[in-house]
Amino acid sequence: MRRFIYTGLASLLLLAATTNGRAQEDTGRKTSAGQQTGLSEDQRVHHFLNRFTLGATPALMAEVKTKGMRKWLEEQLKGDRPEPESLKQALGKLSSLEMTLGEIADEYVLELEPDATPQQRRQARQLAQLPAKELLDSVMLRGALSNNQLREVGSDFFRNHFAVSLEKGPVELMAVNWERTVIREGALGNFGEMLDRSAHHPAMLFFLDNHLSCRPATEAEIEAIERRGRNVEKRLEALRQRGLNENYARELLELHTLGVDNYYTQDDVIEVAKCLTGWTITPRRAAKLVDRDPMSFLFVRDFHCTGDKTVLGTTIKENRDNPEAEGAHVIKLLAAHEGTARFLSWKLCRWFVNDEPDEKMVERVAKVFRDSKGDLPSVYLAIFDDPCFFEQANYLAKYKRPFEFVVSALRATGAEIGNPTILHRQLVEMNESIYRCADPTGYYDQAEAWQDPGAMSLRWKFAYDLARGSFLTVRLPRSFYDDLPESEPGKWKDILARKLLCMPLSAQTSAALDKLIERKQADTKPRQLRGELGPLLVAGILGSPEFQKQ
Amino acid sequence: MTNLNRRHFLRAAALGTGVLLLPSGLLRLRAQDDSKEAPKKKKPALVVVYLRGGADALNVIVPFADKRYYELRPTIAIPDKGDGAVLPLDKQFGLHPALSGLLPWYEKKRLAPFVCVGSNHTTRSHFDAQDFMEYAAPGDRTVRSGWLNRMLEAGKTDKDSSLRALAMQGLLPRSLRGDFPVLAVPDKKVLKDGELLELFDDLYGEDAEQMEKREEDTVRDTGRETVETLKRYREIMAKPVSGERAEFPTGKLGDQLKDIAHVMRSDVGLEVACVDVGGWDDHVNEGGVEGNLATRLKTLGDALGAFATDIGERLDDTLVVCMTEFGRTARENGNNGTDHGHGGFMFLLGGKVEGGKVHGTWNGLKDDALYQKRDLAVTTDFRDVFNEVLCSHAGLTPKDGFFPGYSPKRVNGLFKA
Repeated sequence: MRRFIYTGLASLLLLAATTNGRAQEDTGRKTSAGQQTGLSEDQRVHHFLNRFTLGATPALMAEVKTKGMRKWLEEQLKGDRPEPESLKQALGKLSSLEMTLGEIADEYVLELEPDATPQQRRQARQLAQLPAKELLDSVMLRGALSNNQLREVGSDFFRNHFAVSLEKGPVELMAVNWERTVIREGALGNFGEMLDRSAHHPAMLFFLDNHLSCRPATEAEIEAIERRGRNVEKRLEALRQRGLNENYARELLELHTLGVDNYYTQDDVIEVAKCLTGWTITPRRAAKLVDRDPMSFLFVRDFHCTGDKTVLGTTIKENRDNPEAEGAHVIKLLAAHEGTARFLSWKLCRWFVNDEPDEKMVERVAKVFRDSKGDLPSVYLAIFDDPCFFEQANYLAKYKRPFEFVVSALRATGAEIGNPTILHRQLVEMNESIYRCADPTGYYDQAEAWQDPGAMSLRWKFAYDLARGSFLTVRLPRSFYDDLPESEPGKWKDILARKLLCMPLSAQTSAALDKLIERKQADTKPRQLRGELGPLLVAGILGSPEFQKQ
Repeated sequence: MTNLNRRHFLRAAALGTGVLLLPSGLLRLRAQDDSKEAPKKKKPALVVVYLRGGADALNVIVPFADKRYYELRPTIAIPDKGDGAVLPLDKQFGLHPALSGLLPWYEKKRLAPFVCVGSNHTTRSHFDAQDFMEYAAPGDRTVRSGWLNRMLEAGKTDKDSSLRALAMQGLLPRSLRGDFPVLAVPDKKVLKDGELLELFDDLYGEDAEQMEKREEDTVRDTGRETVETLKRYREIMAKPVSGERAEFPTGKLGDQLKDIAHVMRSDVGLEVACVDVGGWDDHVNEGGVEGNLATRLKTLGDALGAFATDIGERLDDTLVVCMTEFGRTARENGNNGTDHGHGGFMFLLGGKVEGGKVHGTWNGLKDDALYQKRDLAVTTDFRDVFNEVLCSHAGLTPKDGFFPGYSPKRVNGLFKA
């Protein structure tokens, strides 16, 4: 899969180099967004909401039509619309959301004695798992309920762009803080600032092993150990295992900024790793000693590689007064790099527009990325303003990932979410366990990664269970079926389609549902029809081909 | 798989054999045809049972004759005599006593335990190690097709069954991902509810003509594929197999192997089936004769034993391979468990295997014989065994590059000549 993605990028960059001259002749066709495309007004608004929210609803369709798409988007870029009471209340119960890393360490980590009983160990485990559970709950609740949907879409993107996994050690404690201070804060901010925050965050430093990265041992240190003569072999072994760890440096170049093998070489990876030596995490036991919060970022001077470094042709002078600044210098360099503007713009266009984004569009968006110095709201706006955005070929061209499918189903049905855990369990089965992607690439957002028959049947089952109230703690509002006229079941499917799809049904789906209605009318007592047929129609619409697309 | 490939396959299947797109009445006919038309020379079947989490090789195939084993594991070792003693295989090794369900197959010379097999890559990450093993390309992150998929690709013919391979889970394991379209056996819950399947058959079912006429739509393609797989699988499972069934242990693994046995006994041309078994990452409370590992091994041994009994004489051209991504530390840790290690083990069970003897090279447990002085060493590359499965079991001759960057060595004597 990774190969498939990067071939796309490689050919794009190649093209970018050759098409600059030709861009000129296209300006004649350039018009303001979408004027010359074949989408109807409804379709345009639908498309807009499909891409800038986690799921359109009839209420949003109406709101955007009244306000105008651009104006609505500009509000979303600020991300400060008041949230619904239901969301505020649900989030208010999640106590770790606003905590610092130090507070989390204090609240959720139990120091165990070596002779702790299995029961004590189990309690400690359960306590340590709470912040991750609250994090996942918050992601699901906000996705479904937040009025600031662009922040949710952007967070979804960057959660995968800067992927960390709860499966790796203390990341399960740190991720809730990472989500707030890096992802959510960054999604509507400046890319360079987000990159810098991600590089300083212990969740990333741990996930990609930078906290271990250290200059190699010196001869003098080895001699000192041998001279002291105690536990020589053990100490030497420990010293030998210590050394430069390239993991984070590589992904910083490959995944977070430039794209695989673009502009950089293996030497650059090593030099970046050297600049970042000493960027580590305050150990809980040493927190008092170094006067830092436990689990917070820590720069350890003794780990740092001395000497000048050269990154992408730029010399990073050894900074003896403040060696930590060398890493910060690298981050700045990368954030401002031409390759970063292109790579990020390409990925964002792929996310917001099409699995195979138009190369010229990517170029145009990359220019905005560069000119605005990585201001993400400007980039989102550029995507919307681009003449390609509303092209017919992009309408419903993206296949929903399992997360997008689940959240959009919740939004479409207005489901009441008592306990989101059951929803995450569904996502585990669909192989998109949020914050648990083992690969630092994050989850893929292209259709190809998700179109397995096994996975498709899980979507149907989800739609069916949701519609019939099988989840118990997540269900449709009681009033959901109230507007179905009892005497005219033939009309139900279109009424439900308007609610759930915001669009008419396709001819195929419509015919299939007619068959269902006929069958059910024949074998169900009229009094029970609403309770029987209603949920089946909802399941059918949520499981239909049109609802899998966005 | 690229969309083009999948669509191409579906179209060929739809237009060529008609099997995928017929209404269920005709499907039933087709299912019967399968058994009648079953090729005279049936293709052998491979069942891969993957133990995820890194199963503790040293407490599965126990080197009870090595004193060092007992020094390294003061609390979790399996005793060589007395209560809960190992089940001796030879003078050196014995099975964990919970694996009593496998012992008869060893005695019948159908079971070949393999020691110290694994990957030479240094990773101790589950994910990397599993990826590398399932792609059969340690360290090479550009390889994105599974070794079983490449095997299916290499062995395909015009007369193949439409159900050459299945995975007993919603999403395919990496070993089965790739260009050859493999059908994941969908969620059983979906099958239970006939109403749900009927609804989605209405929504996604279409005949060849409808498919030709409409616009290309990979969602519809996948949906139809899902419906047809579900129906096909349900057909197979609804038809009782003749003869006695063995007693499978209760639980997921028992159910899954029972279902695979059912499909095999239906003679529909199944060549590869995969089952994942999770939970082998025993850092804490692994236990010895009794405990977490023992409980899991009991189920595993009983389920594999039942499977071998259940498929009867089909075992002659069937091979079950049970594998894990790596073994664990030779020493026990402070939590009554073990940590991620290096060398692992395999079980091979089948008619063509040279069973009744322990395979693999054993260098003992002295510090110098251990990998990095802590883990069981790897003395046989897992790709050598995979290669043997391809050549000796499936009768294929893998092309150069099947194992990227690696030329496998033959493992003499693993299969009957």
